Amino acid sequence: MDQSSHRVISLDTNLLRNLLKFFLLLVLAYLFVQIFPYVANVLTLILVSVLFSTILSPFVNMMERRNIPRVAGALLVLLTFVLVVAIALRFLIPVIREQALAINDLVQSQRPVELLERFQQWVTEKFPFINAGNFQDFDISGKINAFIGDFVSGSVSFLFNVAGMISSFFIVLVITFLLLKDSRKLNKALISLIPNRYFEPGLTLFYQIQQQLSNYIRGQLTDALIIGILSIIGLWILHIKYFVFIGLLAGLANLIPYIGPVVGAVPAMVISIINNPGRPIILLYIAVMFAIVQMIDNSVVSPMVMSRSVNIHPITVIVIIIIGGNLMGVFGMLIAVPVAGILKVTIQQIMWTIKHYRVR
Amino acid sequence: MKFPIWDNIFPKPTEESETVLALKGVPIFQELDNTELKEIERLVHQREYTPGERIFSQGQPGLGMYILQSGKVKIYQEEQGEQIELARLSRGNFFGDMSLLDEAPRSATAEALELSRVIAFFRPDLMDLLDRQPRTGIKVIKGVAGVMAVRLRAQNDVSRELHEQVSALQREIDQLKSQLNNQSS
Repeated sequence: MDQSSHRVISLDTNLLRNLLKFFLLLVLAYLFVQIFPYVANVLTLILVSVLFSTILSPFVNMMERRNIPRVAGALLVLLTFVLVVAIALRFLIPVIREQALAINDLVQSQRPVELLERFQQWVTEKFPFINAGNFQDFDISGKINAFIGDFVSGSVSFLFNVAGMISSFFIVLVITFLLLKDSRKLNKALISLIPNRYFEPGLTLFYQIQQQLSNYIRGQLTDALIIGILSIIGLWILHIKYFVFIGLLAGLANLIPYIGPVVGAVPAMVISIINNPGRPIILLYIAVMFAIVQMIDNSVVSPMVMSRSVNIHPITVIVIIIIGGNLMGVFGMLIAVPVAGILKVTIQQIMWTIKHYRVR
Repeated sequence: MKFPIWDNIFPKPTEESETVLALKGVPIFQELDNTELKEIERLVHQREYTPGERIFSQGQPGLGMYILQSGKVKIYQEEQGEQIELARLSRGNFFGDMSLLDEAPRSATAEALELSRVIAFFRPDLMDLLDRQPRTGIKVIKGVAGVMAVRLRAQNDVSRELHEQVSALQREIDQLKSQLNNQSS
């Protein structure tokens, strides 16, 4: 057989192999999409367990440094975590529930509509060129009432859904304990699947993604917790009603860069002005309070909490938030940017590995 | 009566494994006791390479070291398409240990000459060990430093010998030059 026909046969074999790989990938993707709705719940539990183990792992490592065996350390840390969460929920849940329901009643009442009508009247008196008829056509009061109502109802039902996950919490605890105890064994088992040809690049990728993601997740959550606590304290000092619920919202909203601080401040301002219509100065106090919290975040908390930022452009952030909101509502908006950050880190590491290892 | 869950949470100590025996033969781990060696055993990865398969290539970022449990490995450098063989390693030898300390690119390629089983110990695992068990981690680093020091001293001896040879050659050349000058004058 001459060289040219040998080359042709070799090309055909490669082409067939690549086509087969591509077809298999398509089949796997199709199966994944079909099976996903049935396994979504299980995957969620595993994801939450991985999140908990990522957060608690440094504490277990700390125990190991003090010569406490990993099994005992994992048990101790997990029990402490459960105790702290239980105590926090025991005191927080009734307060949050009460405040959330109170806010819900407030915005569903006629007071926002009356306030808005008074505001519309004030605008038309001061600026007669604005046609009152046009104002009413927009039905601003109805729209704002619907928006605030949806936002608060969504937050309340989200909180109750979280509370309703207690039955799954025990499964999460068991998986978290096993992950804390046997994370290295699991890593080794996963790594052993990598073929020799891609062993070092695959291992580099695996370790770098793991480290970056752990730092990023811990950083984001630590930051949200600190901002939440600072907001609660600030609102309490200003004697703002429902300060716990609003402070927690501000902490969660801080997961969204650029927009988060505004999202945190707006409910506080709206609810305060509804409760105290004769004290517009309260809006300034709240704005200044949130500005101070943001300053502390940017100058003290963020630098301490490393690898929190993945440098996503503001336009990209807005697009991601819109997509998240369309997919999963308020919850989607909250997790959209962290999820995008995780994907960005993963893709960056893959590109670095391909470039430096010249993986073909 | 056996309780699998209990045995999994509180496993009983077993006899020394092949991996621990192989680790004991490496100078880097010489200061470690059996408990510490068992901890290293939990971190290392076992791999098998077929003849002609590359373990790592020249120029790639270094990740860690390999200990040859069985088989034979060839270490060579590639320059302008030509292979320059540096060493042939057999059971008990180790290579790539400099990568435990930094990410500098591999200075040579390692390729299996026959079916070879290796134990791989990587830098991220060493860093994790330093975080969880600093004493054991420091002993390993000390071991790596010791191996580097021995190599550096041997390199210094070779450099000194070469320098002396070059100086002797230079003296001979100078002598010959002066003889030629005398003859011509």
